[in-house]
Amino acid sequence: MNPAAPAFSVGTRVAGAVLMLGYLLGFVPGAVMSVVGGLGLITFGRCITADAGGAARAATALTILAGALGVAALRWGTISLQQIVGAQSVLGPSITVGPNVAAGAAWGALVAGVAAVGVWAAAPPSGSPLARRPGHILEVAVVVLALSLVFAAPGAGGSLGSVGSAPLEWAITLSVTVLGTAAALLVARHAVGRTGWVVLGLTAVVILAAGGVVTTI
Amino acid sequence: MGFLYLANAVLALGAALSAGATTSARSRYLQGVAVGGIVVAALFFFAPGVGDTWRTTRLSAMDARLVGITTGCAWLVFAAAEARRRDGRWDVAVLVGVAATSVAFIGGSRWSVPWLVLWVPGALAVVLAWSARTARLLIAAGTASITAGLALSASASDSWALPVPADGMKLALVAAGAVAIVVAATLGGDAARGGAGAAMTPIAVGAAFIVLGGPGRAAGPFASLIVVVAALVCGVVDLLRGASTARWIRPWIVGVMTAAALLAFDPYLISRAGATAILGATALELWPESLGRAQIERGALVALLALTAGFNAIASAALISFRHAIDAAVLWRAGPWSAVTALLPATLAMGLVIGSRVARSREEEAYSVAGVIATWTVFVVAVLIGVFPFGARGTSGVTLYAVAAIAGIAATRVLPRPNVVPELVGRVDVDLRPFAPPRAIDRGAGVAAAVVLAAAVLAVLGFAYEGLRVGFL
Repeated sequence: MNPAAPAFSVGTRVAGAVLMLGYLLGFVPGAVMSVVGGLGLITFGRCITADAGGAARAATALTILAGALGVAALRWGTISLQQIVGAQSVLGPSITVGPNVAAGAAWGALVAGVAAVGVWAAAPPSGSPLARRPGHILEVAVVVLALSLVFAAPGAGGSLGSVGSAPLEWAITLSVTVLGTAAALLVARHAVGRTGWVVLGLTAVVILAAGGVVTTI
Repeated sequence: MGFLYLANAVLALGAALSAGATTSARSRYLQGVAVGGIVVAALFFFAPGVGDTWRTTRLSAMDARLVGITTGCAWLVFAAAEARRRDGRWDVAVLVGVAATSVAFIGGSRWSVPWLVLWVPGALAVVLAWSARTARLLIAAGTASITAGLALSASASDSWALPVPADGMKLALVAAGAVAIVVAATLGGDAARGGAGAAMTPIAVGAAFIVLGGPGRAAGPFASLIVVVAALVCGVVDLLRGASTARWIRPWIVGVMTAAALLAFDPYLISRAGATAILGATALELWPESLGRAQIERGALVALLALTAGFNAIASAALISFRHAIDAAVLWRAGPWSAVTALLPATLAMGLVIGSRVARSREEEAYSVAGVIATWTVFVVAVLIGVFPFGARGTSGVTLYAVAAIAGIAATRVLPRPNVVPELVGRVDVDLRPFAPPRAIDRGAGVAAAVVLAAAVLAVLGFAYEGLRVGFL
């Protein structure tokens, strides 16, 4: 193996996380694909030091996560993160806004997205137990934060930055993110090998169905 | 501005004058000529004459960037190969100079006849430099198709103005010609140590993207779908092989970017897609010259990572296809746009896997310093284009990108590195077999290609005469 690869793996993962947080926390206006770009950097860093199966599952999970974020974009008819959060600030979180079938599709995309994060996280760059890797857990939390903001962001004045200005709503976003991260890590403990591919297959079907539903409403 | 268009021709002439010198002196001289070519390319890239009219030319910012990157990469590959071989290939330098001049003129030309007359010598130069039979024929066929499209447009409109874009069947002919040239570029590059034609790969790719940004623009989502599916198949083949090889990676990255460029006309999209295709193809042509080094840079280019021009192209294509899918009034119009939108994340994911395999590969050390520096240069240019605006939609992301890059670099010094999965140690993920001596020149294919190009020239002269006769001017 190229001796510089492990160091480059660390660098790209950190760069990707910084990029994602910059867009998610509203420091820079961004679109859904901007977040996918940061996620891609993190995934690249993981793939460098993962085995072939783990790399393939991580990359497939990235595709499904991009699809989940795309469902939110289709739901609100925009790819701008600010506009997606802004729409939720007026009408409510994506998972609660009617019609019921659209809210159900949003729920499905959120749950499928969290499951895909679990499979994505199941190939950690090292063989150490997940609990002893705070950086790894932080990566998972950043990705779940992206899903939380597009599906379950509470109303907060219409901008990503103002989510933080209201303590209760900030607490709700954090709670959803923490719960989602815990769920993803739980999935990650079991979603290795063939199980991981089964989970990815199911999440792909759910995402496609959710996308079809929100497209037709 | 006229000086810039003719500068590469002057360099070609200068290279020819060195034919009588000793091999070592000629080699050093030709490396200097190549450096001159790179300087001219940089001048094109920063384009002081954008918007100026000179004779039948008027250079747009998008075309200036594409011409600069194309010709710069061609001279870079020649310089790296010459620095290693030191055999003073003045004939290759002349061909590169002629082809670079052609690319410069087709980038700026606004009339059909001069466009074609000035492209044909470049196509001929590419055909002469390459050794792959199918690639040579495809260059000729692509040129013939573009000639037919432009000739039909001129006849239909009673004008020599370059149709931007062409329409209907004429657009299909022009776009198909550009795709044929791109396919030729993925086949014809001499990814072989000592191969003289490697410098022509960026020329062919760049010329195709200039066409796709001009008369062949906005072919639409159906064309884009076909090309992206073909590119994905190439990527799947590479992944299934168990060891990556330039033979399948080159059509993958060039195909994905071609699909993006076919989607719609957007100068930002075309320039980023073209830059990524040219730089990616160049890095793969430089692989034999940098064997054992720059694996990460190659892998990052192939992976279409954020912070590089490749991701900008993918994101821009996704934005355009998403908007068309949303705005389409009927399902059958939205369908292809939606399909493209759905496939783009898959191309990104495939790029990550292929690129990570290339990045972590351990290779035999058989590099030249010039080849490694050239690869690093290509990578840096891709990052600069990805991070800095150059005509993009805003500058707010630049600071964030810079902070992310600095944080990543700092992390490599501070944070512990991950343990390597044991099965990766000692594993070879790159197939080095294609790096073999080039094949002998196939004279039959060369003659056939020359015949097709000659026919294209006659057709150009024919419709030029017809235009003059009926008073197009």
